[in-house]
Amino acid sequence: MSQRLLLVDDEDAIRTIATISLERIGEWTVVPASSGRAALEAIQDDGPFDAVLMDVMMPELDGPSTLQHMRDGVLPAHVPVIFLTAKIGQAERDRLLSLGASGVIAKPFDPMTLPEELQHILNG
Amino acid sequence: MNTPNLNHTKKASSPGPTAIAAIVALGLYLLVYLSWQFFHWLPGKQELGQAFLIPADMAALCATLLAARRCPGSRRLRSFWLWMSTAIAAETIADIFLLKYNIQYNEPPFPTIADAFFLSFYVLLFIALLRVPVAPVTLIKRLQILLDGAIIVFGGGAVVWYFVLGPTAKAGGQSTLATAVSIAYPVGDLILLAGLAALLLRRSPPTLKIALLLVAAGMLASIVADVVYGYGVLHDTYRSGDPIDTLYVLEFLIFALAGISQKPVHRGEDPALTDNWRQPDPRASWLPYITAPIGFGLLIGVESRRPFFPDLSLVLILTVIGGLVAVRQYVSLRELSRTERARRESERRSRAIFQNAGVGITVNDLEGPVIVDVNQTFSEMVGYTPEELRGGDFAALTHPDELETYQSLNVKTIDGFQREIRFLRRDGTALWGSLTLSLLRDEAGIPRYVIGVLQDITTRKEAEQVKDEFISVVGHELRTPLTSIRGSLGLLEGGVFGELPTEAASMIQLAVSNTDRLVRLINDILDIERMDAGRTELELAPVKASELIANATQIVQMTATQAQVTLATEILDDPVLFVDGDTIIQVLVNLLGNAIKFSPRWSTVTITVGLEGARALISVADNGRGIPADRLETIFERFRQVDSSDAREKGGSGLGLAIARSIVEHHGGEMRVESEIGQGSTFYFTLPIADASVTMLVCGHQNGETGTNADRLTELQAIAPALAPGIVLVVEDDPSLGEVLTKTLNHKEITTRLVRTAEDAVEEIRRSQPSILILDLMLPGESGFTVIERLRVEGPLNDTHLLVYTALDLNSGDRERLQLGSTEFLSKATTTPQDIERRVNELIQSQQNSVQRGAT
Repeated sequence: MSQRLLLVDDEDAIRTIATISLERIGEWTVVPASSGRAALEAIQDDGPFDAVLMDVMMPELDGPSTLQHMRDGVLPAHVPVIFLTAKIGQAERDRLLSLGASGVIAKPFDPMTLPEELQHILNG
Repeated sequence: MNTPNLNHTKKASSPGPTAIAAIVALGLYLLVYLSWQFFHWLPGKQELGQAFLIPADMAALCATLLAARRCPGSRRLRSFWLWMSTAIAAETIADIFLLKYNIQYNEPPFPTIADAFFLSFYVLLFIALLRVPVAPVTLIKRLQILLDGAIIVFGGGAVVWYFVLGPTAKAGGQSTLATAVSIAYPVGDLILLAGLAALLLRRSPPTLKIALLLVAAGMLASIVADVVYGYGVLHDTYRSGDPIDTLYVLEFLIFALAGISQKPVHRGEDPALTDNWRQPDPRASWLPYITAPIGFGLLIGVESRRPFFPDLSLVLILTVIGGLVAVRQYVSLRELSRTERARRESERRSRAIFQNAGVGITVNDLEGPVIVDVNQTFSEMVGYTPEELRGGDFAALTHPDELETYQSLNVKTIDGFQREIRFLRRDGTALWGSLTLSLLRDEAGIPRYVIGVLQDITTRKEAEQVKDEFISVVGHELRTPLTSIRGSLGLLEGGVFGELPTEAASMIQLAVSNTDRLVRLINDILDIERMDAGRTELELAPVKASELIANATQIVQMTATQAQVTLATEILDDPVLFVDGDTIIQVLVNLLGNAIKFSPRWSTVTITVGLEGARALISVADNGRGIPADRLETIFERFRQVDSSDAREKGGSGLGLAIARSIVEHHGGEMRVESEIGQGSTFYFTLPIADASVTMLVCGHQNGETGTNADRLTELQAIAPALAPGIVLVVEDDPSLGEVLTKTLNHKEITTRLVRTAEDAVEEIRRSQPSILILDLMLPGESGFTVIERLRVEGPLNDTHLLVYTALDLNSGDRERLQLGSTEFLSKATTTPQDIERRVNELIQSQQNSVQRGAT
């Protein structure tokens, strides 16, 4: 059975592309969520997940806030959360890692290598 | 230069033993003479009285001649004393002749040759007075002095005329010559009076003050004595040796004193040139107003005795005096109103400049930041009225975050202070200003006020902020759709949805490569903006050069293989660099990317690392088409490529080299290029090297990963001296922060010392050789940079770990200047005293571990 991944991004296009990439090139089962709130609901209703891939900049509840809610007992502590961000730079990367993210993937990502990149992070 | 001069003045101002002896002798002589006057212990009143004058004359003659000898430095002064002595010589000769006549005749004849010498005394003395060095004066001032002098002379003249001159002229029964000589005496007195007026009214060097006052006193004695003598002669009551002669003796003794008081004036010490001349003595200006009332008093006295026939000549003199006084008053008032007008005009001008200046200006009291005055512009900037601000507390206008900046200011650092700083407007909004401070000193040179000139740069600051935000938002907003485009294209290109027709595939490939190019361009623009704004924090760490090169070549290997270009690495030396590794890899990737792009097939791109002086030198050489000589500099500018078609063909953003050079320069290195058309180009850049102890630490770590723990510990021990047990020295001028740091750090393993100035720091380091030095940079007087520079020269800090703890934003040049031994930079903005404590504990801990393990 393939691993389950919760994909959180407010952009339809990116959700579509990432889903195709991760399901067809990688071997993930992707559950997409269009907002932080939807993601928290999905964990309750559709869980458990093996990993979370989440955009940083989202309306209402952004990535870091959603992560905080997840870590407040919604999501088991061992489940890795990886951020997708269009803001590059070491400072931003460090900030996200300090919030408890397992890794950061920069936008734009190459859908052909995204699953590999994700796996690399998960393998530590 | 100053000290010997000062000493000299000191020596000269206290009279030497010879001078004291001379003064005592003069005093004794006066006592002897006075006792003779009272008791007549020797008979022969007339001859002896005359004889007593001669030693006084002689003393004055010698003293003035010696004074002239003491003044080779000032021609005018020497000439003054020589004329004085000539005048006194004439008097001496006259007195000797008179003594002869007094001995020869019971009733000395009149006039005689003695009178000729007596009269020449007046003229010579007057000439002497004209030789006194004086300050140049304005025309109007000269007129005033002249008028004042005339009033004094006429006032004195009224007295002389009434008592002596008039009666002498009217008295008959004498030969014409005798009458003329009789008249000449009071005229001579008037000449002396004019000279005296000139002496008192003009500005003379202050160092001559005592001598000139004595000369004036002597002259006054002479004038008074002459008038009394003249009166006595007229009424036939005077004989030589009368008590009035005392004034003559006194006159010459005073002249002698004046000569003695003359301090030596050596060559190059002309008091007229070296003295700082003061304004004319204001006391002298009321002299005319004493003489005038005397004259008028006389007139009234005469009038009351002879009501119908006033002495016409006296009336004439007094009318002249009255006229002169009136003219003098008029001139003074004109002058006063003129200067007052000029002063008011200048004040009005300054005020207008102050008020209408395009910049805000405040004047603050140095003691306590109380606002003394502000201009209109300043009050408009901060939104208060000037009345509200005056007398108010400057701190109320200061943005809370900036209070610290002001606290660090002191009298030494105020002048030349210039900073972009925030203020608080009345409505609570922030005002960004460029503030320049200067000290305003009072006449004595004591700083009293601080003048602040403030330029409103809020708009610029806001624009900068908007630009930063704009670039950041654009970066992000462009990336989001690009992510979708690139993603969709990538999936198509990757054949996820099945194979595409060849033409379609090549179109997709074109779209992919151009999307990538667009992404790179956006990244580069963001990079360079961050770099320019100084927002890139370099995370400096020791790393081997070969490691960075290996990383970079790995990244570009794929591109090189595709371009059929070979990558070669030559390691002449493998220094441990002290750099931000990621950014240096970026530089290398950039240069390698360029080199690969412009290299022909089957050629080799060579990366070389070696040493250049105390720095690492890295080069990337290709065999490409080369760069024309006139483009060697411009290629480092933004959006400059050798050929504008390169951008399209080779897919570069035109920012790569600009970013690479900027990164290298932020590290304190340099980048240059050498190239020959058709032969290829070589890009060179230099980077700072970590010092020896850090190098060992890095080697230790690296070996530790592969070798045994024991190996690693042995190597760690090698750096143990760098962390020898001992003292933590805190250099911090802010008392509260200093206290917090020492309190936080002080526990049983650590001894903490606190100093507040650069000077104390250097001394304390020399004395206690601290194992850790926590250094603030902004110190009163000399800064923390000075500490490092002095230690670099003296070199006792090899074993000390340096923590630079500062509120300053350090650029790479600053960091390089501060690099000394193991150095870390901690920003006060982000590092708390607790963080410092943690770091210090880590350092101490690792030192103790290595020492303990080393011992077992």
